[in-house]
Amino acid sequence: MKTDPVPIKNIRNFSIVAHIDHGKSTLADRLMERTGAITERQMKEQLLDDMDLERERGITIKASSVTMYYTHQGTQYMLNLIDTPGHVDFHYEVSRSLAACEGALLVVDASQGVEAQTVANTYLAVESGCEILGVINKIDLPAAQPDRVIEETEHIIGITAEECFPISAKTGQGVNELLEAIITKLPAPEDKSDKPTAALIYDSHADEYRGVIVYVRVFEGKLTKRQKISFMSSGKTYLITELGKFTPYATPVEEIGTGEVGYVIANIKKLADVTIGDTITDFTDPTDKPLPGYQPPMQMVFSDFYPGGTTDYPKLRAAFEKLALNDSSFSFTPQNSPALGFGFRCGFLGLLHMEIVQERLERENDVDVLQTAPTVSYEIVTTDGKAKRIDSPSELPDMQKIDEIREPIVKLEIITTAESIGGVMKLADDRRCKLIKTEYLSPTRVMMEYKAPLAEIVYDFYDQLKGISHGYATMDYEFLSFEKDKLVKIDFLVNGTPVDALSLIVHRSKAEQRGRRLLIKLRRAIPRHQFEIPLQVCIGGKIIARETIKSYRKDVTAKLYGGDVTRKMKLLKKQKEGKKRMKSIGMVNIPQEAFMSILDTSED
Amino acid sequence: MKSAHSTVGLYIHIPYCRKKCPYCAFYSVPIDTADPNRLIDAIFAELDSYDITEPVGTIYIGGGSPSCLPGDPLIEMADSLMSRYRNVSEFTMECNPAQADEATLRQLRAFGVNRLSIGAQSFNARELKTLGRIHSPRQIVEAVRIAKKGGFENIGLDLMFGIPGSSAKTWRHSLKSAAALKVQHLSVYSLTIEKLTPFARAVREGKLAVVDEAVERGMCKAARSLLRNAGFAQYEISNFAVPGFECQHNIRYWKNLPVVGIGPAAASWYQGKRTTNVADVAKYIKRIEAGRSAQSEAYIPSPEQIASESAVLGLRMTQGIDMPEYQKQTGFNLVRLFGDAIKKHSFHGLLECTVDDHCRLTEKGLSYADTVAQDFIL
Ligand SMILES: Nc1nc2c(ncn2[C@@H]2O[C@H](COP(=O)(O)OP(=O)(O)OP(=O)(O)O)[C@@H](O)[C@H]2O)c(=O)[nH]1
Ligand code: SF4
Ligand SMILES: [Mg+2]
Repeated sequence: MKTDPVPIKNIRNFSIVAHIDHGKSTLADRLMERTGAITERQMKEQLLDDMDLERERGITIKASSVTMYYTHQGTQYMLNLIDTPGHVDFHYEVSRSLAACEGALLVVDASQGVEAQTVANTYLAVESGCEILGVINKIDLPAAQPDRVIEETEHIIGITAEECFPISAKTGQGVNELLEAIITKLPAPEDKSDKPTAALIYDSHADEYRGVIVYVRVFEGKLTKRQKISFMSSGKTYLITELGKFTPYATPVEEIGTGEVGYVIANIKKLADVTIGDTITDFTDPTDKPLPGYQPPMQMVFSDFYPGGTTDYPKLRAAFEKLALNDSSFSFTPQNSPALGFGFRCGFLGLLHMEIVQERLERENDVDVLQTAPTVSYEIVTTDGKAKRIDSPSELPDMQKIDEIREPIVKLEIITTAESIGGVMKLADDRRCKLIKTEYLSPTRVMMEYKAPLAEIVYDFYDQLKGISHGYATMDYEFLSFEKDKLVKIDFLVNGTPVDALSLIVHRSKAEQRGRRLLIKLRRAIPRHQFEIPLQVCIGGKIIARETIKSYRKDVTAKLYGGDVTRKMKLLKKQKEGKKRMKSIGMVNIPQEAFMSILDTSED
Repeated sequence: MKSAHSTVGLYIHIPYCRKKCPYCAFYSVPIDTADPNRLIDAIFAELDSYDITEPVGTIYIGGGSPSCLPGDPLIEMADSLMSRYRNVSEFTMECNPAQADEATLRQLRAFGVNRLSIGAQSFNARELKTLGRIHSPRQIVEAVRIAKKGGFENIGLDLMFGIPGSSAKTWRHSLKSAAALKVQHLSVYSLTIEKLTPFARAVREGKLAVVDEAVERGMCKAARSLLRNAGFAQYEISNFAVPGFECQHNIRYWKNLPVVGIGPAAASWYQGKRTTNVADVAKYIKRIEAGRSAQSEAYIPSPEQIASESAVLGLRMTQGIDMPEYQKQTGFNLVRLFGDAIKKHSFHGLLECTVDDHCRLTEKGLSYADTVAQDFIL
């Protein structure tokens, strides 16, 4: 490995950003290959997506960085690349990555064109002050229309044709030209090597054997092995035991100089001891001004997790604690529901993030969980004038004591085809979204901007949007504020018992219709028991509708002889497995699907 | 007489029927093209490949329809089985009502077959037609008369409720007709729509209507009270007998005692191993003739699995599980192994432990045996 020091003017730091699936990780593969960071033999597709879940789902969840060395016209350059996720849930990873760079490669799929996260990520790049290069990818595809896409990029995000590079990350076509542009068009870091140490923590992760690994970008001075450092916001001090770079595999180095990116290991025990966005400085010769940090990521959806099957509360807690060791972006706080007992209220960046946490929880820890429907948080003002944030409808006090309920409002951006505008507008209208502006990107594609209640768009809105636009529409959203509206709470009683975990908050104009519909859904989702089960729905404490689940169908009149034993045991086992994700309330077993059914906004 | 525990049961599967019934999921094929002698040779060859050390206590020839075979091979089979095994106390053969031949039955009886199980299903002509059965209600009555005449004193009938188009009334008629025939045993079970059968398809396509479940529940109740009054005692979820005439062979299954199964698709539980033969006559014969095993599935259940199976099966009997016996057989204490399940279902009145150390389903519990059984799965 080349360790000759590279002068600051020969360093380039850049993030690769794009809409989901436009080919960021594949481009990273090609760049690593061209620069010789990895040999062909080591190559596997989307090499940086090394988490099991990333490989299984084919998406990037966590940003990762690589240091590469490349000789251009006889001069050696150090290139630090950060591959970022494209999904809206992980925007904060993109912001963090950009803050550690001077440049950004904005990848646009030549067969898809500019999409919602393309726009969102461009804004992030511009805000962070990064120099942007447009990369028009997948030109090898028969459906590619690079010229049209270049026009779109120029029109919407103001990147000119000269700043755009048509490439195929798959075949490698155009990648050499892009590499040259990275060197000639992206700026080098500013030389502040004579200043006291200031390094930005842009990420961290917990390693089972080595403790916490902190990812840094040095902006001023340098980091050296055995240096005594302090974290400026927490005030904690550590001794650096190892410094290194990902090339792409962790490779120890003696120091990390100004403008460089790398990792620090310093006997840090818990992930919680590290604040992303904090500044590392020298303990004896500290800088007087910390680097600008980041906003902590905002949790958009909340859901309660209860132990299910044979899992108990302590086991679930242990599983959460373990998971929190390497994902600091979700939260979990103990929760005691009158109906469901002890569990946790969890906060997530979005639905995908929630799904991932749930999957990892079950998979990596062998626990069974029962999860309530996700909800957004609300701000309530009580009659005594106090404002309070609640993360679950069940926390809502008596309506008499509430002055107003405020819900989260987001800026929603939709990019869709011109012919689907009507359908999109109808859907948006149905979901209480207010149109702010419509802008044609080209004669066939438009961008629509809305102010929308988060609760209306965070669950199934995207699926519906996809349906309406035959798969073409994409969307992105960003939190604006909490705003008051006419909101009411819907409660459900199962066998006479109110089930707080089934409560939801909806707009008054839709409450009754929604309540009746959900009651039917609930009736279908709860299996039959030995007795009849009445189901009731209340709005503001008043029962508005009732349904009944009939009692069991007899289950045993079939004969059973020798040959059937194995089959019968398998069948019973399967039926039993089905019960794992159920929760008993009173004498009624409520399955996971029932809790989720309250999210369903479809008509039947 | 040897106790059931030190003996073994023998089941022989004859996979032929004259015509396939559209609801049936048993392995059987039409007999027209078959060469029964080759199959019977293979069956004996397979039997020879087992090294059965225990005395054979019960024999059961089932199917399919054994009675669709010509008389001679059947009689020969009975003869050679009886000459091999000297401790057989119960020897059952299944018989289709349309295939009860007096001479054959008399001979079978003489060669040791002492129990006849007749697949009656219903005494309503329309229902029999729906089921695709090849016999009429009259032929059932006839078959029982012939069997009795041929010397059978232990006769069982199979009856089915929940047949599409049946009603509480037709069901009572079937029950009464069966009881009036003065047989010793009745198997009463509901029609199960099995996957991949023509019935399953017809139901899916809306061409066949299953009986309303409230009606079906009523049918189950009616069977219990009517048969009790006729002198039958329920000894298993779907089996009733005049006391003393319980089917010893089937009780082996519910007590999880060893049975060697011979023939295509037959299942064995022998020497700690559960095996199932290939469900394909041609393959079965080919493998046996080549001196190979006919088993297509085999596994050795763990002690816990055996304990779980024994509990699930044992609960099907109205006397329940004999707990000391269970411990001797499985090595596990039932209450310790399944304490939670027992507590829970006792609380809901579905299960009870009796003073004489049995754990059994209550009258109410008998109707929810699968719900209870799920909690005895480990
Ligand atoms: N034909 C073709 N396919 C490509 C090209 N680049 C990427 N792909 C394919 O596009 C899909 C998405 O590629 P990724 O590199 O995972 O995309 P990404 O932008 O990293 O996706 P996220 O990280 O999930 O946002 C994969 O199936 C790639 O094989 C290209 O130049 N040509
Ligand atoms: S006679 Fe019996 S085994 Fe044969 S097809 Fe009919 S139901 Fe099945
Ligand atoms: Mg990726």
